[in-house]
Amino acid sequence: MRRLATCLLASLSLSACSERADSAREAEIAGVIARADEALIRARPRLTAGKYARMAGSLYAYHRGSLTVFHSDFRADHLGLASSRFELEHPLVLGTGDPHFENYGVLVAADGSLAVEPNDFDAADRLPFLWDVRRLAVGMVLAAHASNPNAPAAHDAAVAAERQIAAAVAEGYAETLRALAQGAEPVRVTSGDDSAILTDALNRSAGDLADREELEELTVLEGDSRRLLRGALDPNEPSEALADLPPTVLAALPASLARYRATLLAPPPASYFQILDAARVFGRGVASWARVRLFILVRGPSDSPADDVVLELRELGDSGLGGWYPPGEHYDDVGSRILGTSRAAWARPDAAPLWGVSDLLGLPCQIRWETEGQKTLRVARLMGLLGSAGALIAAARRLGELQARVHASGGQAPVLWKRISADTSGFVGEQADVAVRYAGQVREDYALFGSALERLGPNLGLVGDEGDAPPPDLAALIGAPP
Amino acid sequence: MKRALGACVCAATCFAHVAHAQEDDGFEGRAAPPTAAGTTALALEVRPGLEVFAQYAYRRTEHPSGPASWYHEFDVPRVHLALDAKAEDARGRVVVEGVRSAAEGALIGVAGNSIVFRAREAFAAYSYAFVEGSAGLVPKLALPELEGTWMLRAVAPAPEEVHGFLAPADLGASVRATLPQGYGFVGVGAYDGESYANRELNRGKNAESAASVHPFPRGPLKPLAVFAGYELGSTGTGLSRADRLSGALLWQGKRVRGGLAATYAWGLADDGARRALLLDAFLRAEPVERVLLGVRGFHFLRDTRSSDDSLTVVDAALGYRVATPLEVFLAVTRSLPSSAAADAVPGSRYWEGRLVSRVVF
Repeated sequence: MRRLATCLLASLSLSACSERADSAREAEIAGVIARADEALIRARPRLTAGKYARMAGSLYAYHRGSLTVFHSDFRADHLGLASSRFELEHPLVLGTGDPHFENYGVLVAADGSLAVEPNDFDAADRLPFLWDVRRLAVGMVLAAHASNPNAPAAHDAAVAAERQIAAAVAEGYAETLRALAQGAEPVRVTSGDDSAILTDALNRSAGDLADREELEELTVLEGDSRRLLRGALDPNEPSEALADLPPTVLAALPASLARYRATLLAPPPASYFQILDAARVFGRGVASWARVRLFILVRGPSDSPADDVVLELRELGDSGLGGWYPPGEHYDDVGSRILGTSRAAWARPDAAPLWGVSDLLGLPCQIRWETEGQKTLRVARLMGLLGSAGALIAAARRLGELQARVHASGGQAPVLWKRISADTSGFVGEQADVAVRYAGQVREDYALFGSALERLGPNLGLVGDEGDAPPPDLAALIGAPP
Repeated sequence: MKRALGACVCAATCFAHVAHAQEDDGFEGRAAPPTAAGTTALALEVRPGLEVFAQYAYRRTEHPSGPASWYHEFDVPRVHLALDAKAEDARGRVVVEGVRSAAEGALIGVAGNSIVFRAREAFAAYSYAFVEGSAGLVPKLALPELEGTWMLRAVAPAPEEVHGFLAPADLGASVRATLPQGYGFVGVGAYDGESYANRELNRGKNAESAASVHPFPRGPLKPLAVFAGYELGSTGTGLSRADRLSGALLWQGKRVRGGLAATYAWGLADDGARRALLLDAFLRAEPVERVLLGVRGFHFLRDTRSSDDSLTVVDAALGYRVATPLEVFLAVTRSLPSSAAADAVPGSRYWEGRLVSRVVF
């Protein structure tokens, strides 16, 4: 009996070791994000700290960087994020995984024509179709909340239309599914039509494409040769900078580009990819902020510096969204996932002819053309006419249409349409309700994320040790942000 | 008898003294080996062991609003290699297990997604009278009691482990006192709290206490045990609450084993506000020599705040002991989620048939 009492006493003493967060949701957000990023935090803590600082900088940046929280909430059906009268878990559709406003943009196809397409496949995988629909609708509601930051009346008007904006995503999605199920041809979005936002992106892309604006912004011409700039490109954005690469990386680049070239549908001659310069890029993206990113200046079609080409190489990871049910894996490797999903998602496989994959020092990576002729939709431009409720509703509808086309790429339009056709208005209403409700949660989460960073530190409480440091060659590639 | 026992103890003590002297003196004038394992004369009893499950599984997944899909594969769901050593009142144990190197659905693992080995247990223990203290990567108190009663892991893993309620092992230390006259045990433990598969992520440490009491340690009711366990814990960098209360009525017989168990969770999967309950019932029987029967069913209330978020799973198996170390089973699993659970976890409504072999030494 005395021993039993001793044990219980010891147990109570041990209880004193326990420590808890005051806010369960704040702890959950920090825990889920840090758990998902654990390997990155341990290997490159300064970069992940930069990513979290970026996420804390704005509501929309938080939304972009917190896909893993969305995933956790979906699996737990938090706020009914997963529940639906229109659920269809089979077949899993080819989804882009993280379809939000800033993951669409203009791409220049092999024939030089421009179209709005999904332009980020980091999270693309086989998914339940509602995942993408809801992620997009939530993102559009948050885009409305992020619009017109300096014009309160316009901001309030956009926010007041949040439910219509979310509904427009579902309406565009449903209408396109209906058309495709009835045999209509998939539509390539080459004009903005009623969407001022898409029209703006297409017009600006066309202008900057002709001017080769990126060469002006990213390179300097010295005599007859061009090289990439170094240091901060914009004094107002000191974290976004270009830096020299270590010799080991420069030595590995030609072979990496050769492997990349082999993945292109119609590869230009090898001389096209003769490397003129390369630099490490810091401070770009949000979710991918901590990933390795390079700019590679290559020769292009001729020796003339006027047609030099800038490529962006970016490290890839797992989608993090696979494994819904057996077999769970649908691709052989990360590169196959990116190529397979992107080319199926686009209206034509050569929508971005220089979009390929490779690896660099063992890191899987994606390489694509870095050009000002391919504008990404940006929340920062949602001001004035582009930030009006009408513009947001029109853009939401067009992106919903586009996402339906992506999901139908495997010939699944009839199955998907059958699921929602019996009550299309119910489908639209349900998606709008969920999106508005969950977007409210994201706004709360954004504040909690900031307080988690304050409470736990720049890497959400995960402290690495010396043994976590990557080997020297990889450390040199990862680099140190300015 | 007493004299013989005394002689044995005396001999063992003398031998231990000699061995101790050998270890101290054996490296005089030269360096000791960089890793001393296996080089001392102290390892009086060393026992290697292994356990391997191999299976062929066919799963037919039913989709509420679409056609069923199916998948089949050969798999090695469990590989364990163990090494136990004991000398005097000290013992050590290392268990390594084979696991897939990448998470479900992931493409980046070690050498593709190979089966790799990792430590499952690695601890030193010291016994004093009927109290044993362990430190290292130690087995916890609650789950091993349930799993050790079931003894049919090959047929179905413990749902308490699969759904994140309880972990079989963790980094920490535990003290376990065996109650006299077969009355069971009481134990306490302190752990990192992220289980054996993760590194520590926070300052909080988990505290576990558990007791398994056999109220009638003699006679026909000897196998009857009442188990209770409580763990006060946190998880993740955010220190999310992760407390567990477990209770079970167990029958730990030779031919018939079974139990009724309930585990309540305050906080699950990093969500400290979530409350979840798992009710588990299992029975293992050997009605005829070498013939094994197993049935296990559980009901998992994923979130008690929701009225329709649950998962019910039933496993049944018929097995045969081909040789003392080798058993084969034909097993069937039926998984039935509620509507909300099916939406949140696509693919959770399925039938699965398995042909399983288990070999253990």
